[in-house]
Amino acid sequence: MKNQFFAVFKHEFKTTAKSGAFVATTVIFALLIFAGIGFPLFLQADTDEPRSSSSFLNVEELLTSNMSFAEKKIILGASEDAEIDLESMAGYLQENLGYYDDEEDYDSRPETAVFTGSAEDMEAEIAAQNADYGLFFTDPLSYTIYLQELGIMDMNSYSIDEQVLAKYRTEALTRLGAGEDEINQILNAYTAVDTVATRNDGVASQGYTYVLMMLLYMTILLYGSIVSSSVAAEKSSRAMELLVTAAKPSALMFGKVLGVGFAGLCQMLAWMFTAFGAYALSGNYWSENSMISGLFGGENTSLLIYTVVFFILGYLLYSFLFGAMGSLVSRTEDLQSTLMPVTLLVVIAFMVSYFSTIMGYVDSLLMRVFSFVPFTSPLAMFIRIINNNAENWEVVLSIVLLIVGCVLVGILATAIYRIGVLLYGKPPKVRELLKLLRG
Amino acid sequence: MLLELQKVTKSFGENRVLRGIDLKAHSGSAFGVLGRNGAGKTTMIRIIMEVFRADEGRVLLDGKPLKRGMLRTGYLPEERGMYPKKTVMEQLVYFGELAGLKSPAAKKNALRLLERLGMGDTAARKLQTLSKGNQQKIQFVATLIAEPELVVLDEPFSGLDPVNAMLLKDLVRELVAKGALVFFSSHQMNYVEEFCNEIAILHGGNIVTRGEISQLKRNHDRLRIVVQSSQSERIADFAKTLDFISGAKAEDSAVTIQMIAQENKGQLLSALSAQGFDIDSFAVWEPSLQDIFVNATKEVQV
Repeated sequence: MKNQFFAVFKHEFKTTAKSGAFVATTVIFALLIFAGIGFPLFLQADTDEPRSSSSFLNVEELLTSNMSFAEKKIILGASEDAEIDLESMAGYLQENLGYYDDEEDYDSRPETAVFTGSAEDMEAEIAAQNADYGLFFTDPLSYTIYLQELGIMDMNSYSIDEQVLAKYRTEALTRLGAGEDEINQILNAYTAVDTVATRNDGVASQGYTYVLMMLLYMTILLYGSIVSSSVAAEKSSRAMELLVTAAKPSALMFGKVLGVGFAGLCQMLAWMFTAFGAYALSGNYWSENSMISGLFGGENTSLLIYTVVFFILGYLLYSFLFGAMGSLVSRTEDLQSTLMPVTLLVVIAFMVSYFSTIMGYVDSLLMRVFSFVPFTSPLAMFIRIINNNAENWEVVLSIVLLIVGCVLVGILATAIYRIGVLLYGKPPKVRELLKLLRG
Repeated sequence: MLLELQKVTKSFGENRVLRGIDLKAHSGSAFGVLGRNGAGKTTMIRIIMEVFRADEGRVLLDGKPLKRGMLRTGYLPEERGMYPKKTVMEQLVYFGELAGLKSPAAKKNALRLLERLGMGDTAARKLQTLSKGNQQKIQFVATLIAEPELVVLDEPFSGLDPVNAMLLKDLVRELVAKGALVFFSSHQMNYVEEFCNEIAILHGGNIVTRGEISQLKRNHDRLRIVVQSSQSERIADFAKTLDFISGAKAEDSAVTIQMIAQENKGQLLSALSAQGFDIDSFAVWEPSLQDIFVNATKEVQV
């Protein structure tokens, strides 16, 4: 029995680890992870002097850099009662949008023009693609902007708006008697903010919450489907006839689930090592980015241990189910529909955990309940731990319940498997299955 | 070694597949399991192989309940199939390990059997690249890899050319000679007659006929005589005139004569020779295994 288990374990581990898809996934993800975390290294290679870490990946700078108005045309119009000097606004925008460098012969400033006509005329003008942006003022501070397509992150209209506001402020300050230098100083002033969260750093924890949550979710589905399709393949190729006479169903089931799981664990560890390796090389570039540094910072080692624990337990729980479902189908084509209920369970656990995290309801009753129910706890409890709102006893209880759940599901799955593997034809309905299990 | 089934029953839901099977099989012989499709052969085999537990009744080995692991077993299922995408050696070693061998021993046995079947060069090839007959030979190797003491062969020679069938037959004979207990299930009666001393015929979940084949053939009333002769028509006409004969029928060069009692055999023989007929052979008619099978599975209604 023990030897059979190890024979199956070894066989499944080798089969999984040697399969082309598995190797490809491992390598591709490792490369992506390395590129994602280590890319400052590659950028760095181009310049002689290192950039200061704070100037790197400055989101604010990215948003306000208005370099992309080259060959754009902005037209400006106003309603009759609007008190605005369109000529001066056109000149101001032309001057302040985009970037101009005489020496390098670089000019990304827009072309601006005053448009006479109604708002409808302007809309038609933009629709006819005679200009890229149309600003129609009803007041110096309120206007409609017409453009052809609105992207999710439209930097340009953001930049235009900034300049409209800047012009208004400059004029207002000038009226109050401020000089040009003073005005520039006021307009370019910024705050230097340092945020310290005393209980829970939302940005830092959310960063790795998402990363690890996705990792758990993906790997449970990925390895679970490897288990179920390999059971189904053995059944449809009739190798099962030999297997069930040669070995105990429990040895086959546990050997397969643990063998594939061990391969999966190795894959995850390979990814983690890649990530840590890349971070070790490029870490000082990320010191300002609490999302990344939070993930690798030494104080979170316990989190990585929890990741591995919840991965192992969550994987076991679901893979037993996936394996049992795989044993019920005779043709691999039927697999997806039979797996539906189990897949749905994973998706629900993921969705609830995901939206609770996004909306900040990590503390909700639903999440508390979910964090103890074995099928949802791998994700839900994991997220509560990350967000520091689970007591120690809750974590222990959740893990104990999960282990008990794994054992019970393992036994049930083996019972289903014992019946399922020799059942050919249409996959049985739940009621038929219960009848068989009792018999 | 004696394997015994005692009053074994098995149902799947409402379906009573086995209704009380009693059976004894000895090592060093091949035991034929016959039955029409759906008679319960596979279920019985699976109970012997410990895949299912019997609802009632016992499976005993030398008087003790048979448990998984007590015997090295080999099974050649009727539905053939292994891992099409793995190499021959890889899967043979795997099945050897499942049967309890260490990997090097499994490899050694696999190579020896492959060589024996003239397939030594296929070890590194993927199973799906082999012809169907060769895949079947690989399956045979998988069955025998652990030098099993209990072997179940379900239609072992179907779909093989005569040369391959001969190779495998030799292996089976050797197996029996080495003292293995072989269950042999087939619809090809000539193979059953060739290998098995004893048979059991399953029908409707019961064993309806059992025993040594030679005995089963003799169990017949032995009142029918078959005479081979070129003068079959004339012999038939003559036989019908004898008062201890209830009927005679000529067919090609054979006459079947039905006697009233065993004692009439000598009388018939002397009567025929007195007439000076040209007789090639004179024999008591024995049913073929096929006749026995058809008879057994027809008479008893489920």
